Amino acid sequence: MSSILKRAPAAFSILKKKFQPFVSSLLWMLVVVWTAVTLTFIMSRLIPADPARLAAGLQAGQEQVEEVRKQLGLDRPLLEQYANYLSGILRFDLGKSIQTRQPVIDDIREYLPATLELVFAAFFTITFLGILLGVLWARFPKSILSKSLSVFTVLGVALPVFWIGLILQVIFAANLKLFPLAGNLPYSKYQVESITGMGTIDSILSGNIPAFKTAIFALVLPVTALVISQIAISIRLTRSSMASELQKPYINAARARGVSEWRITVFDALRNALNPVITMLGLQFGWLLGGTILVEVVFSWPGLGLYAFNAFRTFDYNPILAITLVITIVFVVVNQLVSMLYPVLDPRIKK
Amino acid sequence: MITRVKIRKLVQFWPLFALGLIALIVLLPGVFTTKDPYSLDVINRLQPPSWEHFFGTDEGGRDIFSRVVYGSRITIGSAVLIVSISATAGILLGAIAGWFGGRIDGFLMRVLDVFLAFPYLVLAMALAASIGRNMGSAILALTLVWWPSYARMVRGQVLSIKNELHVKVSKTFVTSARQMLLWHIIPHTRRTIIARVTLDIGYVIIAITGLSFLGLGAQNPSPEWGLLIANARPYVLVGWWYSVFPGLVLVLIVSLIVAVGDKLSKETSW
Repeated sequence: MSSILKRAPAAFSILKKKFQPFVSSLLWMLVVVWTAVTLTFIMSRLIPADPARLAAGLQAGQEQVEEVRKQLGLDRPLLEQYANYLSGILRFDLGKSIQTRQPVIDDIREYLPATLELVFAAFFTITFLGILLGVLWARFPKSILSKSLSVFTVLGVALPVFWIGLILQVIFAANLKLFPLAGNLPYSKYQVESITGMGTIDSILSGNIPAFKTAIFALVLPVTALVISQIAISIRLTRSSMASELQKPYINAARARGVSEWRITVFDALRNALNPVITMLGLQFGWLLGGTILVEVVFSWPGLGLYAFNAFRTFDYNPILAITLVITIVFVVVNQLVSMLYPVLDPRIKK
Repeated sequence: MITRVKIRKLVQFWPLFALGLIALIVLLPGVFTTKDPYSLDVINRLQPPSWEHFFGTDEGGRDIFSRVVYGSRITIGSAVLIVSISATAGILLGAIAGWFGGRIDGFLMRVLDVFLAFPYLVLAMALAASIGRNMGSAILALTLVWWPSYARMVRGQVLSIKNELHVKVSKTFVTSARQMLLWHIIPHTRRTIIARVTLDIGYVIIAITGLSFLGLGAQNPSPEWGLLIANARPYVLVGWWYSVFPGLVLVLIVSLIVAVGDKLSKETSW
């Protein structure tokens, strides 16, 4: 018994060491999310329109507006309103949408999965293709592929995602009729049960192959638009990181030992070259979240972006603020997960 | 024999020519087109490209080419405005943080870290939607999300310049921090800043056209490029030229600007 007690402090310090990065990153996420909450609160007070009048409706008389103001607590001092706003968010109460007449949180639950499906599909394509093409470019700098990539990566950063979406629609949907012009998997037509809200996953879960095919086809064009507009940066970064890695002495040493070129590229150079790329990919996730709003509008994809767009048009402020909050939280969490990946990929960082 | 050497020398200056041409279009759109970008001509609506109308006409019979030319002033002009305001603010704050260090630096960097942790495009959209849907609020929103990256960059530059010999020497005769920063520190960051500003003008053009495309920036009948493409959306199946040409010009100009920025950031001889 006493020996355990004696060892306790040591065990505690080991625990502390193990969990300290975790706790500090958790605290950091909390700070960012709190800032986002405060910012959206400030924004909601910056709005030129009177929120009470918006909530009461345009036909409401002055008395009704005052009534609504009292109900919403908008007649209270600002600090109290802020406290109410905070406690509302802790209870997942984000107000009501004027447009859908539903609590915003329910709308978000409905629309978020479709957006995540789009973003994750684009994200994984960018990760895979970006790294692959970057490695090929660094490995075979004189090939035709590399030359066309060097042109594409300059053009690629200049391509606005909404315009690519339109062009893809003109070519592949309107003229070649290969893919649907717009929209997601029609659930009722295929009698697929909505479990996750993501068309591809739901159709697999219900074992409906034609529905799965439709869902994949609906994904192709919007995901392509997102990938084309974002992939250039990760290709360039992988290439430059790989190129500098391939010049280092340990590569020569591996060659001298007779390790195959393929093994050197993938297991030695790529592993060491990946760190800056991973950081960039985390940031790109945020750009994808911004870009997806534009893509969803072009392709009428029933996700958060389209919901936000309709909120922009109808001056529906509660959804706008809630979406900002949700997207920020998703972004911060993904970036923290990415930064937790570093030590796994690169043991040098552990120290 | 003079020509070959001279041409090679001239070719080296292509970024200057490219930027000069873009500036000319922005400043003097009237030189490039004689048609009025606003005048309606409903009889000639949605005409395909011809000698009369290089890029065809839109749903109101307006000449798309001259709308694109005049729109450059709004799109590129506002991008330049956004980048110059955020660069100025970022440079000043970053230089102050880097030079003084200590508590000011710590505080400012924490604030920046929080700002940089946001998905900035989404934040700009929400801001622009809250402040009001017009070009002014779009410009304000993008400026607010853009300046932190400049502050971060300049702070890093200042930290590395701080210990150079010329700074140590000038410390012996410069008394005020203001003079020190403005005359002996910031000028030495110019190379990085100019390259970065050029690149950013390209990226901001993409961002602001995105905001306008969503209806959060310029409003009709402005010929802003993002709005032009948004207006073209319903006609994508009947008039391909309406969405294709403004987008092509946008891509061409932005890639030109980005290529120049790339060249500037690699070049060290100026």
